[in-house]
Amino acid sequence: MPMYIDYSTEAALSTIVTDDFVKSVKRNIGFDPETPTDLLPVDLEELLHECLHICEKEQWRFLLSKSVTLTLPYEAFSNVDGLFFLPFGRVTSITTFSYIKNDLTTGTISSSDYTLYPAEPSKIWASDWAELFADINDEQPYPVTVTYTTGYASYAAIPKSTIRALKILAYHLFEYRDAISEGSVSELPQGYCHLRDLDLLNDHRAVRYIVDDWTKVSRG
Amino acid sequence: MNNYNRRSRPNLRHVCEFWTPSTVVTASGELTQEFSLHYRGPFAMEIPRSPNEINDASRAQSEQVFYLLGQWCAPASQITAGMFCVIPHLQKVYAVSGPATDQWGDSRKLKINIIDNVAQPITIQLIPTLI
Repeated sequence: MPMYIDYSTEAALSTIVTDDFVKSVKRNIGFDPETPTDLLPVDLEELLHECLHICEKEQWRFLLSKSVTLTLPYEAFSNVDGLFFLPFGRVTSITTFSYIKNDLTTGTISSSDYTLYPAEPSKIWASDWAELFADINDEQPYPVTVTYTTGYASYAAIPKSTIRALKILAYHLFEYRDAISEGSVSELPQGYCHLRDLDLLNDHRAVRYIVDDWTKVSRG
Repeated sequence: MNNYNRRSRPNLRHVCEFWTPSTVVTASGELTQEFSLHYRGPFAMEIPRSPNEINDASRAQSEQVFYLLGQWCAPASQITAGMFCVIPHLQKVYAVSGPATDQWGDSRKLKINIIDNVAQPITIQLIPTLI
């Protein structure tokens, strides 16, 4: 399924990585929390950024806020209950919602035509999608495009188990920073895997249209 | 074995401060010693072994040197002889007896030798709360 994650729209690391978090990570990897970050043997912010991306990939849920573009088949909106589940966590806003018409021009679905339920798993609902997509070009494989923003707004919004998982992962990547193997993180600590999976996005309807593109969760 | 022996409590870390002494001439022309904090970090400590722990009959004397084992870090690797190691929660000052060594050569762990032979005036200067 064509999917595009716009990492250039990713929120700054400082939106969720607070000073307290950085200090606790420093303590966790064996330094005094007051040690200046530039004295550490690794770039701690870079390390945390890597951890966040790895965790995002494996939880199927975005931690740092960013925009996602899904291109979907018409069938995605043909469910009996009229719901379409959006992957990658809580949706803060839908930027564009468009489709290709029969004459190959682009039509837009107005936000007043559907309802967004932001609670996880986020979903959009319309009473009759067939009416909204009346002139859709259903010969094309992926006529519908949805762009939306997901991710946690602040440190406080992230589940504590995910925070703990990130700390364990940061310790692991710091401790084995020169390990060379086929995948850079082929073996991960069990504590991390367990805590990460507590907040796994495991709604099958939400992952249905991204399952081919998105990395499978490693149970290592 | 007491609590400070790394071999009985390998996960115990002490927060150690390393202070660099420097001699300063005051306005009245007196020489005074001042200390500046060089590095602070958690270190595991190994106490000297007693003679009956040393499996070598020729070494009748007990060892004198304490070892500190900690995370490698650029300023920590610059710790050398002449500095003083303060362990605040033990209220104790040690002298650093040699440069910090990276015995494993991987820039990960550091070993620092310290000796418990610091004179009382320096101890009092570094730990004002001692008396």
